[in-house]
Amino acid sequence: MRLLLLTIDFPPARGGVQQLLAQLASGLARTWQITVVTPATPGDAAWDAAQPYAVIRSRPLAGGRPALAVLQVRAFVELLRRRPHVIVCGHVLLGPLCRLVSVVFGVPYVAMAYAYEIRAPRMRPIARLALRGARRVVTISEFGRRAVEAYGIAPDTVDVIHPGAAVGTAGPPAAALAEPAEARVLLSVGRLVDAYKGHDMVIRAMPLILVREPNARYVVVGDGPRRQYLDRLAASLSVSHAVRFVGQASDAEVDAWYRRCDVFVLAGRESGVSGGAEGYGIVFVEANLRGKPVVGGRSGGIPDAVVDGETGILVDPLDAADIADAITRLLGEPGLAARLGDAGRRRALDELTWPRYTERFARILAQVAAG
Amino acid sequence: MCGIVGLAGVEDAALVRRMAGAVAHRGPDGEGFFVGDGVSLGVRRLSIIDPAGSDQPLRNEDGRVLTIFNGEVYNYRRLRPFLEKHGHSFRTAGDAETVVHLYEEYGDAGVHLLRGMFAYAVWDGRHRRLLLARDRLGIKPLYYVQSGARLAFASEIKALLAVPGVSRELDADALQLYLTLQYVPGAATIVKSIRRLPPGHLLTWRDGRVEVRRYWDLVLDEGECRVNAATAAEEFRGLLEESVMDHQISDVPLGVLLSGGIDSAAVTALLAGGGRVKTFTVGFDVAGAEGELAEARVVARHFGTDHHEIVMRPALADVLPDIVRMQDEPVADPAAVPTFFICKFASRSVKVVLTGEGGDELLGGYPRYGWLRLGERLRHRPRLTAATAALLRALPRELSAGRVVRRLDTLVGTAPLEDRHLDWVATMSGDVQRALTGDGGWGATSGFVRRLLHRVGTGDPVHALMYLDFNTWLPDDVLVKTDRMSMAASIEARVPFLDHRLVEFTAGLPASVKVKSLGTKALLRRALRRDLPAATLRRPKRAFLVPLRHWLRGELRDLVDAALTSAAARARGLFQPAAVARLLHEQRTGSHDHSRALWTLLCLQLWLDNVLDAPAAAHD
Repeated sequence: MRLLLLTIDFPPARGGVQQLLAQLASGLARTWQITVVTPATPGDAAWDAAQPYAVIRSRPLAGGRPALAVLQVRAFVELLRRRPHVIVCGHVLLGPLCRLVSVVFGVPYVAMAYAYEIRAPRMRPIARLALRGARRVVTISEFGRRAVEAYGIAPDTVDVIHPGAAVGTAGPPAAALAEPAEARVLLSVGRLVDAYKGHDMVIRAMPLILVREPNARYVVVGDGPRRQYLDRLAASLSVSHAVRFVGQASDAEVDAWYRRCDVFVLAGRESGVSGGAEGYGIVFVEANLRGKPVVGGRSGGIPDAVVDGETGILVDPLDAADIADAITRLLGEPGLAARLGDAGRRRALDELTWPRYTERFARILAQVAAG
Repeated sequence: MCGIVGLAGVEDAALVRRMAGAVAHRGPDGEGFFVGDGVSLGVRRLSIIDPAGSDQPLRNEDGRVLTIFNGEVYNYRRLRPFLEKHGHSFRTAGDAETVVHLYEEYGDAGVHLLRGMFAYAVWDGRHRRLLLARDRLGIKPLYYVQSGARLAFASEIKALLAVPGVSRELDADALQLYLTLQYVPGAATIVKSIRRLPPGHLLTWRDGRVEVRRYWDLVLDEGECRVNAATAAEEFRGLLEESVMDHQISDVPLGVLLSGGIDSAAVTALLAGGGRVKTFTVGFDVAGAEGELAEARVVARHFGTDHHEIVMRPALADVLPDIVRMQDEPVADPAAVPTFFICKFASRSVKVVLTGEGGDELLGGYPRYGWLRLGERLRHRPRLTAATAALLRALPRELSAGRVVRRLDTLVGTAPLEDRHLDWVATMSGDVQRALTGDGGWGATSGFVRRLLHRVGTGDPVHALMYLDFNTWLPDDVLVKTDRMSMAASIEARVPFLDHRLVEFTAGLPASVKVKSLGTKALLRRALRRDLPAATLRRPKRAFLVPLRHWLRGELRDLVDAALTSAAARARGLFQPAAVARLLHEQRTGSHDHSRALWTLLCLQLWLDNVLDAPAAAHD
């Protein structure tokens, strides 16, 4: 059976969606003949060569043609050439093309939905078009399901499959991170682009946390345009001494930080207006994998990634006291922290693996292919 | 809402009673004292929330931690269950008690969880330690005097002047700042021994040692970097609505001071959902300068409010000394006069009023923001500015005195931003100030402004100027006026635009979202475009025009002459008599308009006569 995967995001570009689609493609490659169509990105040739499936890269034309249009033309050509049995639509922006093909040539498609991209007001018309034409919709959390169903999609055609997580490159020993041994490290991992990630609220909770735990250190891994603001915010609250911005880090460094931290935290919130929210929060599971307890904002898809009271603690992301309370509890009760961390690790190893993700996805594809 | 006073390192029941008496107007409904443990605390209470309970000082469970509190905590209903979960038990139904338990739970850092306006003292008897805290934006006042190991503090300067041995010497630098700006900004006051606890600061006293530190600062930077104007406006509206809702918490009747401008109209619009709102507007009995009665009427009619108007026909010369005395600090803001009257008027039917104060500072309501940004941009076009400057110099003298020409002159000049700013806001020119005082001019003020502009750490001149206003003009002029004039009428004024979450969100938006080219308040106009009458939305920013010149020529003429040339004024010798005489003469002949300079001198002199040099016993 032939499968065409159309996506805007794909490795070697970094990010959660990129990783998910690559895991899916290599997991399915044993039973499906897969072609991925995606834009060119630096370093793609070496990466593509190592994959057990074909990757077609669309290259932007001279004269600055929109990359999306070029991608769609390329995808259409590949459709005619490869004549797939099923298409996986990796992003709703590619939905109109998929819908056109399904109507004209009768090739069904499965639409992927994450959360932000279908919640943003400006995306609504195109998301409606993409979702309503899909045979099935696969999303990453119950939050994603609600966002999909808000378009009037029948619930029995929507599937939630939690993404997997895996420890990749092992990092350097903790000493390389230059944190004093007595520091109690609170860690966030994520790009500093959107306000909804909630780094600001953790910084606002720091004065309260420091009352209980003077050795607390908030380590922020990731970079982006919000960094200067967060840095100044820490200064305005007189907690600069306890907040460290590491910047962008390699997979190995991120692994080292996960291992070094005492608590992983991301106080994600939902922006009612822009639609911004954490669709799932794979970073929580990655921290769990290292046996770490996590604190997450009760918003978006985070409750799917964090089982409250079992693998971590959910907090009101707009309440600095609630955030501080959860963190100081975990720092002050080693037994609780260990229990949550262990349970999180077991859940990540047993339930949230890529083989399980692929397996469920494969069943859906088989149903779609069978008509 | 209350007045608080206290002494650390001193047990003196009679003195603390006398200090509380000096702020009795802030709290006519009751009083409370604590004397012991080496401290003396006193409070006068105006009951708004939990009128029957909540008598102060409020204590923790074992009675060793107690607080006196002035202000409102708008999120106390949320904090309460949280603190109860941590094992605290509440005795009252009010907001102030949360302060005690928050202190027990988080120490000094408890202040971070309060939403609202406040100034409070916590005495921790277990550690024999005093904490003073003032809200982030300086809505409620707090002053202190340190003398050796002793500390005296109070909501108003008058209470500190009642303490024996407090020096009444004027601060020479503060005087220069006052003359330029019409108020004294920062941590100093006009009285050298009396300090102001700046907004967003804490003071701790233990064993005679005092430490002052900042716990909050305004971050004007692009925190919401991927925002566009439409989503920013929508989110802003949501936060403002939430703030207005929170500011309604009250067990007593409430109204809105309606100015006719867009800020108070926005407050009215968002309040209007919940029943018929009482609105109040003041105007003047001066032909051609009636104030904003007509504009306010448009808003009132649009929302069907229970609207009340008052036209000021006062014997101003009789009332002004009282106003200055109630204002407590010398602040020569002419808007204090109508504010005083509107608060008195509103106090007949309500005990709490919401106002639009802070909207201009938060949303870029002053035209000078846009103009001064243009000026900074022109610096990079030297040929254009040189040509314009040459053109302006070529103008005949008669044409070069106009406002527009002077503005342009400032724009294309080479003066640094701080001096351009002063050119817009100063009460008098540097030359006049130099002639009056015999030295200085704008020097002291210019240096002060420069230091603040550099602290802001952002490249955007609009944000730099907003930071300056949030740290000077807003807390030390606008909010002094609002607090003192409402307290003079024993009513509480609330300022929903200064909810700190709203402020933090708005401060985190790009300056270009708030101030578009030379227009003002682009964000607010957009956020409320479906709520407000078209006329209100279209109305350009107008300064609150008080008919100062008219007053100085008419009913206040004799008072000005008498006050500025009095024996007391001459004896104090702050100003060169010849320079004062010249100002008075030029004003009289109409050759120059020195209205603001004379008003600044008059307010200072009345303050000296009625506050500083008045016998302490006169403050009942």
